[in-house]
Amino acid sequence: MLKIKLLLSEKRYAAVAEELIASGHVIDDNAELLLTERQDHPDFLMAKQDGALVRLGLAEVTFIESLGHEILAHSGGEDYRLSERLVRLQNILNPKDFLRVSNSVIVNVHHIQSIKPALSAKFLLTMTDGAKVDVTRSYYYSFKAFFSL
Amino acid sequence: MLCVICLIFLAVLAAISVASVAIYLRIYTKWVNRRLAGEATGKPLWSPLRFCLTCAGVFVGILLALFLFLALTPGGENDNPNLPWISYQFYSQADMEGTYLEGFSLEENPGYTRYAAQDDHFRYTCFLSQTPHDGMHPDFLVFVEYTGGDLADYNTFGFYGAIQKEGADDFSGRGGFMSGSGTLEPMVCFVGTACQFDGTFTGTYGLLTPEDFDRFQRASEEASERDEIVDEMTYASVKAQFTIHFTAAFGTDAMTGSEGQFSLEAGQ
Repeated sequence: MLKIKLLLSEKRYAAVAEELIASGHVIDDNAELLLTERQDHPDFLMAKQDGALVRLGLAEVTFIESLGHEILAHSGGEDYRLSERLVRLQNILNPKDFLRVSNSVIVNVHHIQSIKPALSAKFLLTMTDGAKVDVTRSYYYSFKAFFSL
Repeated sequence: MLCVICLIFLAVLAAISVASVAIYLRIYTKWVNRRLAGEATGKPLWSPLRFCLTCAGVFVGILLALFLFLALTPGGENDNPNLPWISYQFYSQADMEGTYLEGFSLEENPGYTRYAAQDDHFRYTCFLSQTPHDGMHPDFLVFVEYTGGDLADYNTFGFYGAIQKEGADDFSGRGGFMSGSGTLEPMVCFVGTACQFDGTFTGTYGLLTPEDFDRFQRASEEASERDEIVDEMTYASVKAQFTIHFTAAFGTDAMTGSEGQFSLEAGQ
């Protein structure tokens, strides 16, 4: 009996979960073992809020940031704690929707309200929830390439 | 004057560059947000950093070009920021020995125009250069000879040169006041350089008897109690004074000759 965490698209999640449970395995979002799809990107993430495990829709997430030892996803004015590392998230999230802009932040490009360029190689992003996020020099050119700036 | 114009030009250019960068930053910000909204198409604009560096490069290029222009442009006498000037030195007869002044004659000196004047006690012989100031030869020399009588009556002398610029309301300057004592010499010389100087140079040379000097000393002691200074020449029994009027063309390529460039007035 294995404890498995599923990181699948919504359409496949139910079917795979049912099959694994039927095989005697346990679906556990805290599990170390992870089952993902190679070609597809998840529509949601399992996150914790006030100790409770919640399903976080990625479309509503404005940005994800690393604060100390925690990874926080900001969505609808609330903060959710994620168990994945930023590097891992960068690989599993849809690159058309999520873009890393600094060593500690991944933004949802659909939630960028405005961009303010600086004289130096930097941008200041204002997100739809009012948060300000810096695009640092290391990610300046990849950001420009993404938006064809 | 040219330097001032260039400085103003550079200041204006710097202001334009800064304003251009600020304006471009606003234009770029608007374009970026239109691009974000999917409204702007076409080639990307230059980044603000690239625009700023380009402006800086243009500014430095113009600065270098201006510097080369100023460095290679031959400056006329009128561009010399150190002009006009006048300076002089005083020589006693003993001071002249062993110097280049020994080669000067009281009658004639090649390259100089001679002027002479006489008063009751002194004969003045002035030589004015006929060529523009060259930095190697004096522009004017005034020999002052005592013709009044027995020089042994006097034991102290004093001198000074006074400069007055044309058009200046107050006195421009006096320098080189000095005095000496002992066996006096019958001739002294004021030697000087002048270039584009418009004004007058007045040389004064005075002789004091022992009694004159005593009176001066008493007056000087009394004055020092009041923190004042007494002019020694006031107590000179005899005093030589001459004034040379210079015009601004003196000492330059525009100088056509000594005539009319100055006049010598002698006597008190």
